[in-house]
Amino acid sequence: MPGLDLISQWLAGYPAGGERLLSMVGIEVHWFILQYVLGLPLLAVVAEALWLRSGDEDWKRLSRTLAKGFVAVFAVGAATGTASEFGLVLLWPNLTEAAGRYIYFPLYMEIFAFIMEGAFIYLYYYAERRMSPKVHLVVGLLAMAGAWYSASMILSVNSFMQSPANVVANYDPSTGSWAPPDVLLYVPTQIAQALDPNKLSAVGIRILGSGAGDVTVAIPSGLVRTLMAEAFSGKTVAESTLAAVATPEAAQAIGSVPLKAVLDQIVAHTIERAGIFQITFMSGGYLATLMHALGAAVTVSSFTVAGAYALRILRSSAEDPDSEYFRKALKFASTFALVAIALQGTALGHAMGSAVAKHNPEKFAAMEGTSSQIVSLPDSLGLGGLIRGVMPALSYGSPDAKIPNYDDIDPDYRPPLLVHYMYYVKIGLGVLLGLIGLLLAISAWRGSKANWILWLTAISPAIAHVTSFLGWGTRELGRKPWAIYGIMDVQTELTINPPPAWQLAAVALYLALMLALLLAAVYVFLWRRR
Amino acid sequence: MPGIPLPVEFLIPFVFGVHIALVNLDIGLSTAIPLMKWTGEKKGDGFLVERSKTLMRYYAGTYAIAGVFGTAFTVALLSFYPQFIGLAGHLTWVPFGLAIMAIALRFLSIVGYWYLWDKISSGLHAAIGAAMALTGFLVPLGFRAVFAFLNSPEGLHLEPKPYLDVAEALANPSFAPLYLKSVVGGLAVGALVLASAYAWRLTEVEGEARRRYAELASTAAKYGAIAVVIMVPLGVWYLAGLWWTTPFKFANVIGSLMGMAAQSDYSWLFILKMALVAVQLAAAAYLLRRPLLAGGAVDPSALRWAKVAGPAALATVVSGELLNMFSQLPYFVARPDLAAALPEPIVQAISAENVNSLANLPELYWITAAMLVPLLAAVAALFYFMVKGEGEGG
Repeated sequence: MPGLDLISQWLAGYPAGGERLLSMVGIEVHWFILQYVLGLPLLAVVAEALWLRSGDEDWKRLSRTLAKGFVAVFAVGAATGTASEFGLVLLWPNLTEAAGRYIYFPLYMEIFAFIMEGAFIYLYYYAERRMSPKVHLVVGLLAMAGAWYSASMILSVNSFMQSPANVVANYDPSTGSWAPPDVLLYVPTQIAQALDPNKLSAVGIRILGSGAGDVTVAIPSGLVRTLMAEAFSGKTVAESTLAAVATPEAAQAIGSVPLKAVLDQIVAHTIERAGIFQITFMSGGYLATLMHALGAAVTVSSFTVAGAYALRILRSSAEDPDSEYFRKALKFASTFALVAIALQGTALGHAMGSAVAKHNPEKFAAMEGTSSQIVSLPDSLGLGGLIRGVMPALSYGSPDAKIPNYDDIDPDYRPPLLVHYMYYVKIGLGVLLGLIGLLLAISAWRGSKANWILWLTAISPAIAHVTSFLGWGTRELGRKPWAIYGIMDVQTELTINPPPAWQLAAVALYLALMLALLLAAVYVFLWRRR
Repeated sequence: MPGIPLPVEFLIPFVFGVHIALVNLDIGLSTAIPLMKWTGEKKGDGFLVERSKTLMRYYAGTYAIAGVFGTAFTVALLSFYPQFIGLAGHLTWVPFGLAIMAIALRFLSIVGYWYLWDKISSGLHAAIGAAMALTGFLVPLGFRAVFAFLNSPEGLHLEPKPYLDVAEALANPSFAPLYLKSVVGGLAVGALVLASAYAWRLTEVEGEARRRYAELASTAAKYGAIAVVIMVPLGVWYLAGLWWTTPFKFANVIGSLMGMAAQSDYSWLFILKMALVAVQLAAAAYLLRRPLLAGGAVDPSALRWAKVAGPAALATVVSGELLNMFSQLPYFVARPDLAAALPEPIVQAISAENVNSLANLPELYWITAAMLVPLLAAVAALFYFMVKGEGEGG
């Protein structure tokens, strides 16, 4: 019912609230910067291509300014990335260990992405006068490719955490029936022979088939969650749930073996069968995630560039010799912003939403707020009927489909309802951003000099950032109670030595302060003249 | 090394070597740049201020590439040794947490110093520069505490669950000399690389500019020499710390030269490092005795020594770090004598032979070679352009 404290549900309803909050701050600081690493190179190379085509030196000047921007943000991004990486290792070491053991490949391939980004971004900046314009443009494209390649790797890991390729959501939109997700595993024959089929059946494990060297099984995610928790807490087979499904002989023979060693054999074999080099890229919604994240980066970058030039125009006088250049740059960035937000709001956003509906029905139910415990935001705005009318077709491709009901989901599998508000505020801000983008583009192309439009442009980067943050927040908060959907929960991924709350709060405040000071420095850089 | 695949032996030390060379340069440059600007402003020396600004431009590049290779190092470790990284995560919240906070302050000060150049008061800019230099000394504090822990796990307690007593860890006899060596080593590298760079530069200019570059090179060599001399007792102190806490590692570093039995004898690397130190000292001594310019003409011998000093300093740092890393193999914690007292999962996690079988694949090494070779060519091109590129005024 209304009155339910959504923040408490999010922070206290799942383990490690403080650690999750700190991770959110750290990763948001990194993502804040990263969007420019991904977005600015695209704008810079397009501006340079316009210069090559037209010979207009203003485009070259704009391209150089943008390059100077992304050289700096790349360095900052490398630093915040290192900090985030260490943060993840320190707070969630079991998750980190599992990722390093089983899905290391995209992380490993990021090594080359980092080197590619670093080398070509700085070549683009430092070596401009040593290469022909066309070669320089190609170097710029390689710099952008390095950044996007890096994003494609890390997002495959995140997509795996959201929806692993071997985890099947159990929601039927034609009937509205929900059941916990199943985990598909290839169990090596040697281990399978140690398990009793009747006991397996009794706990809901289904044998789907057998092949050379293994047996394919579908295990309820609740059982997998328990086994993972037991394995990482150091239990032996005899002390674990596995003993209950083992044959009496096997239970005695391998009772003293660490459960983690047995599970490792099963998971490693499954990963090998599925393909070590490709398993994360087969995660549900991976391509949609990648495109949506890149779209967000370009959107934020475009609005930021537009906002910066709007500030420069507001700061300059009509006689300023640069004013024509500023307006040209504003027109360029506004056009980019409009195209980016339009794509985000339609094709890319739709693809992402459909992927969530299909692969994470529990998160989808929370996003739509289909619960009697809260007042839905669309309902409170009088838009509930409209949303309920179009959502089935949008999400499942059929007007007769049923949206999952949050209250029908087992409480152990429910994400926090806060994501409903985050999601719909994001949608609202996205629509607002689209309207602002349209207004900016029209006014920039018409050469409007209205100050209020320039001020609106100047604040638009903040709106773009909040929108992007809410989108990422919806994704990450909606992953709860899982660390890896269907496989590992938050408690299991947590360090055995959780820091005291005051240390978590101090680090979070410190990182937020660093970001605030960084923004202040950027503001001074943009605003003050030599 | 038996049990450790050759590519693992190569890849991890390689990315770490590049990282550590650039980090040392990073410490030196981030100290030199604000000092040069401050001194230039105080003396009304525009040449010095301009050199400081040009250095800052290059410094941003080396800083980012250092960060890139640092991340590459940890990712490579994670891929090949996930259990070790997992264990480190459980134990090292405080030392790595301090490092994270210092890194955050560092990037902020670097960005502030670069972008606010000429946009804020000189005093405030100098204060940001001081923060930039200071954070260069702070970042290694946490990292070196962990490295000392890897020498000998002082402060590790197993009951009621494995945890690290930070006070005991910081009292590790190998921590203080290791940390001080890192900072002073960075200053030595920065100064001597600058001496070499300005020696290269002075041959490309004439007149007053040549005189100024010669002056800068000599000054940098002088400070470099002081730092290298300080490194000698610190090195002895560190060796004493190793002898005290981990005779196993001490034997691998130098013990075989003293007749001790070494399991992984890397004394040849120690000898190489000492030879490189001797080159630096010889170069600095020569430059202190003989000026680069005599009557407006360049002294070719002095020029050669100046050009050699910087690369020798970088090579010294890399050889020293690799010696430190290799001399504890096949263990990540150089105390094999403690194995019997540790639980089996921890013993497994700290064994360098316990390589992730899913990553230890020929296909992965082929991919690595195919990706790394062209990218390293690009990095080489980048450094070529940075050194030879657009001139100091660019």
